[in-house]
Amino acid sequence: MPEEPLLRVVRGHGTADGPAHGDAAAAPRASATATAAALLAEVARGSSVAFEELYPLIAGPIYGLALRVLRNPGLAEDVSQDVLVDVWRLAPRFDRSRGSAMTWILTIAHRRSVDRVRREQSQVDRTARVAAEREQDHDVVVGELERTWDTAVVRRALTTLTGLQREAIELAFYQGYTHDQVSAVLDVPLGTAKTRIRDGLIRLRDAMGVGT
Amino acid sequence: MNELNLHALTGAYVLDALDGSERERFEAHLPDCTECRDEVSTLREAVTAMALGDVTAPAARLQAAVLAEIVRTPQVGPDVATAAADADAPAGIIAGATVTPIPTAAVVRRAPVVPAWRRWPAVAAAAAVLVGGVVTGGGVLYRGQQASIRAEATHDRMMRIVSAPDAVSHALDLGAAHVVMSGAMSAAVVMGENVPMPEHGAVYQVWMVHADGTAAAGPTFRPDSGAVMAIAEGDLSAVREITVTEEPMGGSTSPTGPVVARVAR
Repeated sequence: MPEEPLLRVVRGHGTADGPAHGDAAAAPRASATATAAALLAEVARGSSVAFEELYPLIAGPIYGLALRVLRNPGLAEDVSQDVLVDVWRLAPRFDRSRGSAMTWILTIAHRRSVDRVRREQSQVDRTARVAAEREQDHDVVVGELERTWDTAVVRRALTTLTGLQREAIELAFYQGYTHDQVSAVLDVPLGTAKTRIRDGLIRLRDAMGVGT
Repeated sequence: MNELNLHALTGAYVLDALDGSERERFEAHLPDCTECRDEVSTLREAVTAMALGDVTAPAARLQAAVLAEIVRTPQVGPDVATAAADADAPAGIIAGATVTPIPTAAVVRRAPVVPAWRRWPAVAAAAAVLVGGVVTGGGVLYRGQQASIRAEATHDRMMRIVSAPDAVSHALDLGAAHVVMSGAMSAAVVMGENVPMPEHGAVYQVWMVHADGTAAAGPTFRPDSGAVMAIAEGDLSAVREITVTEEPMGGSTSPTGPVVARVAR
């Protein structure tokens, strides 16, 4: 006897959802669409059952992002645990009018990953390493997004960016660089680095049609 | 730093590329600036799409560790929602937010922790034996193993579809299954448990039926211990309904078997 539908948890509109399965405890939730935001709202009211339902939706994205930034499975797992506990702890502060649940969660994940990577490694070392990688193979950094973003929507969005915009975004997002470091590695003025990051993200946003 | 400069920092803020003092200054500015708040929240959605390119299943022990920890971790109160109150909270979302008061009784309510992790690995296991070319899955597989790379890509794709802002889930009358559709992702995911084996054919097949009655062939799938997962790719704008038929092994180019379940777009 399965308890509940496997993955009826999606963001979006309030449409009718899965059938109840005769399990009295599961029936009330199974009868309505539970969005990730709705689950988070239940978590905010202290429901660890809702947190368990949320976990399989968010653990992969959180760990994947932490691993990408930290490049070390042990550290990534460590940070992921902190992030997941934060999701539980801070859930009462989530406000769905400010954005999606996944975005709120991944914002916490990125912030914690970046804080950790900055603590773990000397910034001088990291700057030197990435500068060297860049020297060796310019495409290593530039190509990162292409390897991981496989949808047509994202590919189209990427083509709208200039090389400098993409590199600036990748260095900040995946290497955890501050904009000062981005400007140093790319050898452009700080103002240019800031502008490229912002303009690039705006282009991505508009090309992907998200958040508007 | 004047206000004009602060406006230029939205992108760097969203990517956590500001250093400590800049971040503080920018977060102090946010509650007073609707424009920056709006830009921060829309840029964050774009960054989320970037981040979802890296979905990776963590080790199973993480679940147990997290569950054990939340049981002994108190939650923050909803009535003190300021960025300063918790340095870890992303202020672009939280600062200045209107927080709905929650009755104290609800805050302290605790439901018992019940292990229920079997659902997720079940889908991954089912996906691994699916027949259709575009269908496979991840979740219990690990990065770095050749065989799992494609599975992981499909798992990532599935995660992106079900977490798309416009994703909608509909019950599918086939065991305890659902169809999750996202127009933005141009895809529909069939997933569920307790799905019976096909009676009249060898496999199930997903179809995108268009308004003009034509049906675009989707992947085939078979339940594994009742669990199924299949991703049908295609523009959903002209799709009238998603159907599932029973077909011979290998699937068909147009439906030949009986329709066993359907969901209107």
